Amino acid sequence: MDLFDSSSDTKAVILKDSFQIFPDKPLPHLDSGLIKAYEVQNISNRMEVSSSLFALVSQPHLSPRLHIFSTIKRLQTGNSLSLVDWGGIPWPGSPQYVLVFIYEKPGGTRFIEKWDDVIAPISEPILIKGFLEPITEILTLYEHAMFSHRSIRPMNLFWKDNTRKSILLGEGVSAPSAFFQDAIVESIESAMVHPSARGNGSTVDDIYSLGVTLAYALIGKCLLNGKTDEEIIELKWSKGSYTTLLGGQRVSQALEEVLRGFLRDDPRTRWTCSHLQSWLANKKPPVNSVNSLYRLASRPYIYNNKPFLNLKLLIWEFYKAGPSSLQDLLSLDFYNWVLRSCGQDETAEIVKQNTKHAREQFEKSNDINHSDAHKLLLRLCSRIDPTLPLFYKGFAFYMSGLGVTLIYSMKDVNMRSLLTDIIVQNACSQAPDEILISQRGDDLSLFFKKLAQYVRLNEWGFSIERCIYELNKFLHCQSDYIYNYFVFRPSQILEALNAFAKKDGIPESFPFDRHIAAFIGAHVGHAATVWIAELNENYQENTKAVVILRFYAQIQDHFKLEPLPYLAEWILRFEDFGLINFYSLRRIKRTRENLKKYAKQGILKNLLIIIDYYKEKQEDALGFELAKRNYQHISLLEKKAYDNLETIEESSKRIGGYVSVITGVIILVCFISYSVLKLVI
Amino acid sequence: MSSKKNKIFVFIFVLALILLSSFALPIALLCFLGLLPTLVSSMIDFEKQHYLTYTLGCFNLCGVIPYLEKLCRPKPSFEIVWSLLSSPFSWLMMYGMAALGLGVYFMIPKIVAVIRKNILEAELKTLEKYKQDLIEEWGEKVLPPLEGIEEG
Repeated sequence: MDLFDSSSDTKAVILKDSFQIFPDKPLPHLDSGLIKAYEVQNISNRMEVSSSLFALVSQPHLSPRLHIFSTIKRLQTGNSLSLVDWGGIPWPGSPQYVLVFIYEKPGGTRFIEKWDDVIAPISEPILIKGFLEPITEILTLYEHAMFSHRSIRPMNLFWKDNTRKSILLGEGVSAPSAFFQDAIVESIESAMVHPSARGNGSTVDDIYSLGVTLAYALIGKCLLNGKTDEEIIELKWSKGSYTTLLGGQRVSQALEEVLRGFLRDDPRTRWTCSHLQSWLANKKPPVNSVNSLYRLASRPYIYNNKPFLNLKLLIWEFYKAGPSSLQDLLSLDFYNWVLRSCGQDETAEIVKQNTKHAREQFEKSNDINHSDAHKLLLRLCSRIDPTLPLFYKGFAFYMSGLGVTLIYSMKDVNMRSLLTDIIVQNACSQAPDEILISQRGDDLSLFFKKLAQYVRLNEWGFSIERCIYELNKFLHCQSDYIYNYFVFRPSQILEALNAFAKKDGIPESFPFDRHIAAFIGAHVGHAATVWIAELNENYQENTKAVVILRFYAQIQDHFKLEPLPYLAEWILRFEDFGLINFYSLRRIKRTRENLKKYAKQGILKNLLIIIDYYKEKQEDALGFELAKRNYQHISLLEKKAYDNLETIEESSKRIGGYVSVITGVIILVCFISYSVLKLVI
Repeated sequence: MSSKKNKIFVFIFVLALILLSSFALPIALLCFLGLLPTLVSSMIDFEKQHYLTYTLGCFNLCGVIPYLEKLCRPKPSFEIVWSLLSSPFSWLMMYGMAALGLGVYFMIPKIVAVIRKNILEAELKTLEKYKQDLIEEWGEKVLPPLEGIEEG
């Protein structure tokens, strides 16, 4: 499946000014599962790479195992494909940038292309020297670095050179852990799980895959070829992996010991790297005690008219049957069968302890709802057999694979809804403590409770997006704005937004989305909790500019980031920005001018100071109240003046008459005075 | 204006002339004939404040006073009265002043109206400018709610 139409544009793409990748030159013989390989030319003088290169182009829904990249690069031994570099590039046909991984080409061809291939059996010396020793070296290094390869399969091996004496282990980082592993190379439990939900796994899983690969190399063909996953799992259940994969083929005594150790179905008794190292050093490997769960019962338990001798298989059947199996699971018959026929006192005690309360609950309550019934089933089954994957509403998963599955199913509504249900119902916390603690090294019960709360809160910084980042700490921020910048640290978010605005121009939409908030929430810790609380408390459509500005200013201040003028300009672009705090339009205009000036400086905190300036806000509010009163007063005066204007003729007549009289009197007084003076003189 | 007041005014005027005529008939005759426009105006002035009568009366009296002064200088006599009344200039002076009073009465209210109108219009312009300034400074939020709705 190729998601990208690389034929639409055949222009070479440059990675880090060092590698020229040719989308029109695919190298199908170097593909890694669905991850396509392309021709690469080294154009850098800085980097000295002896052999020719190829690139693996990742797919967005298949999250690469980025958290182990730097370690893998450091741990390269020459026995695996050599990782040269990696990075994000634009890719023809893809709307977003993709991650590419540059590897050195192997000297020889792929060991086999597909399971159908039949080859000449590999001789024992080559198998030990050319297969076991190099892979053991790699797995030991990985084990010390606390991660696993999870992509060991015959199709992921290359001959080191054309002499075909030694192999190179293929890559295992460009897709989720064990995503391309077929049911044949996975242990029974892991094969039951959805490929995206297989989780981190461990060296023990790698050892099993190595065992299957060795079995193939030894007999030169795959005996399970053409069988479905279900058939393979059932065969392994009934016969055991060793017998299923070797099928009675004669194997030397030395290798038989190794293969039996590698292909043990109980991971707790399977060989580890130290066993193998002891064996290679001709020492007797330590013997692991056999777990009783894998013993067959003395008489079968009949479930759905089908006899079961294997407790694990029966538990798996209960899981698959769903809540309808609770009737059997909670029955005394089942308890008695575990105790007497299986002879497993410890497991019987677990059954007794866990089913007593559940039985009462189940018998009393007929209206037990669907999710609760599934949770009860998960709780009981995972306690009886903690080695099985978790199973909820028909979906099998390991807890450490939940995060990757969320990414994988981002566009699959049904799957996403199921995963949301798993989180909201806190299904994972039903697992026993040994799973909750062992798989991540810390108490996951509290962690999953928190996730359930996050999903219920449909606010900024929470919801399913928060769960994605909480479960995938090495996932880059998926925001559309900064997807292409591959932001892995919260301190890079603002720089990426700034770079986006600088490079692509300021878009019409607001520089904020659910992914940005969730990413910061998941990565920053307590400080982000406060920021997000403030954000949700104050966020309204008309205040979002200030709220987001405050949010970003806090981040810039917290991480002591360089000036971000383009991001500041981007936020300022929104018209509601200055209006929300001030009444005075002149003040707003002045504030805008100041904001523009400060935006160019790129310190978001300074912008906030202008907007938040308390005294000015107070003056503004007082001024506004005064202005309202003044306006009303002026309106009254105006009304009065208009009234006067209407009656001006009438009132002027009155005033005019009065003035006329006064004029007449004054003139009369003058005349009289003059005449009197004349008479007197 | 009530006609009662007018009648009182005419009555007082006539009574004053009769009293005057009892000891200075030439003066009373001159006053009667010279102030005849005032007497007529008092009869036709129906306004409450009698501005017409007062204005016209003042001016009419101004026209009569110079002749009263001429009449009184040696001793009032009918000869002087006849000589004054026989001169058209005397009539022109007395009635011309009355006419001037009438003119003043009609012109001054119009002048006052024009002046006041200009003043009010200037005042309205100033108030409008104040309002515009307030709207420019604070936006339409400064408008009283009702006014805002009406304008909206």
